Amino acid sequence: MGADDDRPRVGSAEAVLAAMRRSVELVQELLQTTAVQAEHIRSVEHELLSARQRVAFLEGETSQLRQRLREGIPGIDPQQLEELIEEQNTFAHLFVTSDRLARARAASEVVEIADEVLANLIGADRFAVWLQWQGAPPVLSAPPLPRWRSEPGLHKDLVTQTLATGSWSRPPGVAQDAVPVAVPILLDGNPVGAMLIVRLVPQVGHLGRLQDDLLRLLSERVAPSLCLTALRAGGGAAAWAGVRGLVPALQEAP
Amino acid sequence: MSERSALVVEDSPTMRQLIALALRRIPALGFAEAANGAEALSLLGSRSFDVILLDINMPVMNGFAFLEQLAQMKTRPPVIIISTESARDDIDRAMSLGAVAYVTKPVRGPDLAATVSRVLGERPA
Repeated sequence: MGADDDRPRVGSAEAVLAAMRRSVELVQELLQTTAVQAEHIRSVEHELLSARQRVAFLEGETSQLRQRLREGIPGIDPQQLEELIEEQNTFAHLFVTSDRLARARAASEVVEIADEVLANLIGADRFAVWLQWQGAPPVLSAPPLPRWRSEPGLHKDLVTQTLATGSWSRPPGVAQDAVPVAVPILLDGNPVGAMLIVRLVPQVGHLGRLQDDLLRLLSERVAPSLCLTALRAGGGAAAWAGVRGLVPALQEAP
Repeated sequence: MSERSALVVEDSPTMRQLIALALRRIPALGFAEAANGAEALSLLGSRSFDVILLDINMPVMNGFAFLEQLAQMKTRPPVIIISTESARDDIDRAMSLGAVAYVTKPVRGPDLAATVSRVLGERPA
């Protein structure tokens, strides 16, 4: 057999060798990739373990806090405690609003208090307060800062409806805890004004119990406070003389 | 326990009264009031405070302008912002000007007391 006869066999062997080398390279690449992936898996597993430990630690802390809450006030679970805090907070807001309205000495101060409560305590972001005296056209009281003012004429239909009916008004399809809403200002059950809330600040989002209670307080107390300031405008003695005339005397002197 | 003092800088008298009610939970904490940043700076010129509760939207001098002025002072009490503004930019700006905490209105009295106590390094009563 001559060299020429061996040439195809050599070529074939070289091809097989090349294929084998390529296979070895592929296996090496595969092993490297596997090693990298194994390292990634170890790293992920380590992170997972750390996260599990962190979760366990936080769960332990939460459990301890719940235990402390239970121990702090026997018989009250955290949910009840949260509700109590919320209720106490609502009462504090109602007390401060009521106290401020009762102490107001001028009509402008009453309206300022209503503005402050709407903006700071209720979380109204765009609003307006309207007053209507004995059939005269309603008067708009602008909030102190321009950024709080609702655009003139916006939701005029809601304000008109509330001034006519003395009830809360919302556009059709708007949920009971949503805005826009017009809330009446009442005197002896009759509408003498309206508070229009067009938008709430993002952190409030909807009218919760705190907002609802504060709006009902303003609805009932703003007008009597305005009347009281009118009585005080004549001086304390004049107001007292008026009251003295209205209260039947049981005994002239102690 | 020694008397500490808080300065409440807020233009709304209603909010000041509500904050005062919340601060009553913290033992031995007295407080003074200012209706804007300029009034607060004037008070800081004559006495020191352990913490400042600061509104942002105020007439005459707003909260940001006050923080800029406060940064020039040698001793600066920690400042807690109480604001209706909840935008990320406002919070970042206040914190970059040195505020240590940011509380959005409407405030919950117990939460505010807890924040003030934390800043003062104590637990509320």
